[in-house]
Amino acid sequence: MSQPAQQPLDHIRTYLASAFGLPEAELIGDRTFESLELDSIAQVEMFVTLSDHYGIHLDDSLASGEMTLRQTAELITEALEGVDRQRQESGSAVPQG
Amino acid sequence: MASSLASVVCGIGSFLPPRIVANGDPPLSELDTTAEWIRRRTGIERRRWVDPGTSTGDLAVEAGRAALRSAGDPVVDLVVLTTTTPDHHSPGTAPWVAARLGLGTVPAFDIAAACSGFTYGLAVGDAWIRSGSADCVLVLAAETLSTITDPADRMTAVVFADGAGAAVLRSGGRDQPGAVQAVCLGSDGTQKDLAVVNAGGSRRPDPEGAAELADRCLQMRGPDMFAHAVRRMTEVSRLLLERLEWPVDSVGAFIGHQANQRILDKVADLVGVPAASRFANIREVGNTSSASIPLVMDDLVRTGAVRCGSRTLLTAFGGGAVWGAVGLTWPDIKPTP
Repeated sequence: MSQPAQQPLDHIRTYLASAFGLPEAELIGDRTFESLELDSIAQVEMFVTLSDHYGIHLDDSLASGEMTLRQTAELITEALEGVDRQRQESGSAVPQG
Repeated sequence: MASSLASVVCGIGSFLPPRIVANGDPPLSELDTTAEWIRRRTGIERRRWVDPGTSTGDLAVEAGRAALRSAGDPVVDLVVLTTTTPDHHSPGTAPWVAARLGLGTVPAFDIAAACSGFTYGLAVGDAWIRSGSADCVLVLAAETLSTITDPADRMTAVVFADGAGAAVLRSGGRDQPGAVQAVCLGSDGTQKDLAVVNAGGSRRPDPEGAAELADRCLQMRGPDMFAHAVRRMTEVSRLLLERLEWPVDSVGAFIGHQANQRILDKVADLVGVPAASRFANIREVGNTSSASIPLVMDDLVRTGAVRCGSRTLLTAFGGGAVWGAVGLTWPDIKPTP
């Protein structure tokens, strides 16, 4: 089941507040990782954590300082939709008698 | 009973060179960083580096001697040495170490499995014992990473360190404390550039030492290394726990390769290891590659922090890329004076 972008965004905000002690009030969707002073390792750490949480693969080479929280949430939503599509396709690919 | 034959850890030892380099000491103080930056990003406060003239084999001899003493000086019939920094391209380091330890003409060879070396070494020793090819195996993990570190490279200079650890395996029963229960290993050669020394091998010979210093030293793609290390160590740890049918909260000791405290924390979080079961000493010793796991194990023997028989999960990831996990029960080893 695909999830609306807001849910991943909320999850990202909760994760960043918990993992890096960032104030949630500052974690609005348009903030970039660079503006939050998250280094490249921290960005990759977040991608790995989110991938594991959602059971998807987020390509950590896409992580960059200019990326916003909202763009990251959109990546998650796209990946979740891809997983849904794959499930549906494999479900309809049952060999016909 | 044949089905219960297992390799059992019966001795642990380690050795660190005496020279301590703190985050604020030269040459680290000359980098574009601060002691606090290094501590926050790596969890490391100090590390040991060898003085010129001290080799990997020298450290291995000391660690091996300590491990053999802790095992009651048994008769050894195989020596396996894992390292990224052998004494020479050729011959291997293990035979000379075995000879210096007075082990005569036992089979002795090196394994190159980067930071995963100790898990690979245990796997080899375990297989020799379970196949009946050996009754007692000395597994050594020794590194002098400072000899292949560019002191001007912030990514590696603040992390890499020197040290050696060793374990003695003997044949025994699967139900005995210290018995190896399962091993899972893996590799992905498509990631060979995650951590690499570019010059000096047969792909790019450098007999005159003309290559740039950076190319003669270990270069690492830090963020990529982080991602691969966390993913692979998490996967292989979960696989091992599943294979052994060990609920994660039943694990009494989790010891991961100490690449970086943030990697260790992330793997432990994702696997779900209870906080009380996580053990590390990276703050004091840095990243000693294959030696890092036995260095922690030896500390734990000394402090008695892990109960004999506790379920123990070891996991590592290194350049290659190679990774591994070993499940064992905590050995019955008393600290030696």
